[in-house]
Amino acid sequence: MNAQTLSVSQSRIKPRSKGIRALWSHHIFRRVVQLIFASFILYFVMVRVIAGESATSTVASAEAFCPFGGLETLYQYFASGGAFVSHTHLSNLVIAAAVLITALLLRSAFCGWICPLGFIQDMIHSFSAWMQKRFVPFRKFMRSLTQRGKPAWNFLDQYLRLVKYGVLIWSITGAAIYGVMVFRDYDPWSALINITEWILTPGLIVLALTLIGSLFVERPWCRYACPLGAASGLLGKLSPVYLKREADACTTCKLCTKACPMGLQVHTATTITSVDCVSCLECVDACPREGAMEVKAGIPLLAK
Amino acid sequence: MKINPFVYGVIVLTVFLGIIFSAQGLGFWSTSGKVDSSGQAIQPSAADVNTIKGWMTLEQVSTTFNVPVSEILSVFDLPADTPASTALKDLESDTFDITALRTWLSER
Repeated sequence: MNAQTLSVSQSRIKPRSKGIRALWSHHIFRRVVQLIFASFILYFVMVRVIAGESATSTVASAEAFCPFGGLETLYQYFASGGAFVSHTHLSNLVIAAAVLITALLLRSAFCGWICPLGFIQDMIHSFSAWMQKRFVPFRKFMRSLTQRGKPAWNFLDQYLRLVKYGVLIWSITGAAIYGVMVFRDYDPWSALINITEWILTPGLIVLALTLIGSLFVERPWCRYACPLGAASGLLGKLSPVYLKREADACTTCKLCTKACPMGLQVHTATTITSVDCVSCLECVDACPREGAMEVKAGIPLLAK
Repeated sequence: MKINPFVYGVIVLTVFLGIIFSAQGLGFWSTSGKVDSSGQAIQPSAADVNTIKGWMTLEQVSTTFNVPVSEILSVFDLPADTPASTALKDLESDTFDITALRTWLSER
């Protein structure tokens, strides 16, 4: 039966996997992928720390795999005929292209499936949820910060989400005008992969705020300040892929909204094409009814 | 058209890694400023200021472009006792960066 024809009474509850199959969910698959990419970066950070750096060493810096470095050096690369701003290489350009093409085809899937900083924020928020289940004082403290299930500062949410576009414009134009990565000193990712240098930078403070903030809000950096997510989200609007909530099959249980790490109101939408969606598909995984929440491909910009 | 979440994840990895591996296969890949995309060591060239990289030392730049280290330090307001063996990227500050050095040398 076509999912579009299902009503609430007709749609079935998804069958639960049993045994070893229960361990292999889309959620676990995504976590494994995130862990592999985070481990890849950690490997290069550790090798750099152990091997050290000298004029003859050619060990890659973890910064060579940062896609946003590719966006920052893009203008310099074409304007100067092949020169890069400091700390960037061809690898940054290639990975930036990979992120943007992936966004064009599959929305901001890089953010939800690959980005190690997103993964770290996910893990910290999962730890917070685990703590709340086991420690009553911590749960009470967290609940004291909410009003009707939403953070007390929720009224600022829609305005704070615009900050990332300002960061995107500032960092790209700054790099083009000055020929240096003006964003690097404020970048929490750069601060994290260079943390063994033990230098107090604004980026280290932003990193600390992001990690602490992740205890209270899921993916605060991604929601409010990530310039790569902003670029990826905007390009993703042209993608043929979208999320569809079938209102007829939906019981409005809100499990999809609760599962969304970006705080989107999934249960009230019919087509989810938000620039903030990181395509993690946790809403699809969380939905208990068959055909109520699905990933679909259609004609870009016209998907309904 | 409905897409299975597992299949979606596989497509994401295929597209993302496919682009990276394709670029590597075409030789469009380098993760260090010390070697070019063919693995050859990059040396500073007096004919091209863009060959100056952050890992190079003041001494290398001084020798290649025939400019005294003391003049570089003076022009960019860097401490006069900075060792000539210091890498350029370790000197980056409000008054000095690689792009500014390239511009100054090309205009000199």
